Amino acid sequence: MLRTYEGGCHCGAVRFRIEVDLDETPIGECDCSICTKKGILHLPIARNRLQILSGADDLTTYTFNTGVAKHTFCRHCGMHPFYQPRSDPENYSVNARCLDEYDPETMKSQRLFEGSNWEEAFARRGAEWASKH
Amino acid sequence: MLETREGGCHCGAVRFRAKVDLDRLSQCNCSICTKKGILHLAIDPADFELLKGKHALTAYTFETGLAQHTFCKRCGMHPFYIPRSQPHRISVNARCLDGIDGPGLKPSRFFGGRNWEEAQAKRLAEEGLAAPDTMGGRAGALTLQAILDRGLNRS
Repeated sequence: MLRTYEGGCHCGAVRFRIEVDLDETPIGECDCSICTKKGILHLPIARNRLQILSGADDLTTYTFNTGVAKHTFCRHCGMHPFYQPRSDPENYSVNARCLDEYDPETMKSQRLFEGSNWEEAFARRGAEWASKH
Repeated sequence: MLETREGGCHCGAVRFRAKVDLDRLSQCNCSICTKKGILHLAIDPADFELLKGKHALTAYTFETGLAQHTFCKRCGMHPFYIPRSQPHRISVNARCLDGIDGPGLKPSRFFGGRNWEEAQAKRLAEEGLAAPDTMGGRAGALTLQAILDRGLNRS
């Protein structure tokens, strides 16, 4: 069921609202160099389903390598509530850990993106998607 | 098993070397550890060396101000911090160790920081420890400062 969730950083500067059906949107993990360090739990969200309620100016953007991914974090408290991933830069990946209703029991990772071999993982995910649609 | 490992943030500004035991990996469910997703390895400051990054680090504090939640200003990673529960020690984020398999990390310990006072009392009783001296609330900041000062000449 499509529902509204809110979330944010820790200090309260950055707040967001998303619309998502958690039954249809599996939470994922990635083992690339930066996701490993962030420990982020990815919830893919279309850009028109994420609304930044406050704190757009409080975000710092870090980029590296191809520069495609926009790794945003709150410059006051260092949390990473959402970012724009290299694998889908027009949209967002929300960090499930930063949802107000985050529940570690029910919101576990259900899939692994092997970003440590990024090109291979991206190609495999594309093939899986094509076979389902 | 106690081993010496290196680690750091993502952009390379912050680097450290630490003696850690991955068998003592811990997780906490307090408000900030939940958002950070940090996996804790608490160690003595004598077993930690900041190799690089004194000026790249900033510290976020809240409530009691005891904990010093340090992160790299450039890339936002949290390689280590000073915890409220042990303000004279350092908690290394296992996710920031070089060559670590993040999704494969399985914590063996748990701190119920959501009910902090209760969790702290339980931990102190289990380990037979007295409550740490908060030094009027400045203990965490002093521990962090000492670490940064030791790394003084390495930017």
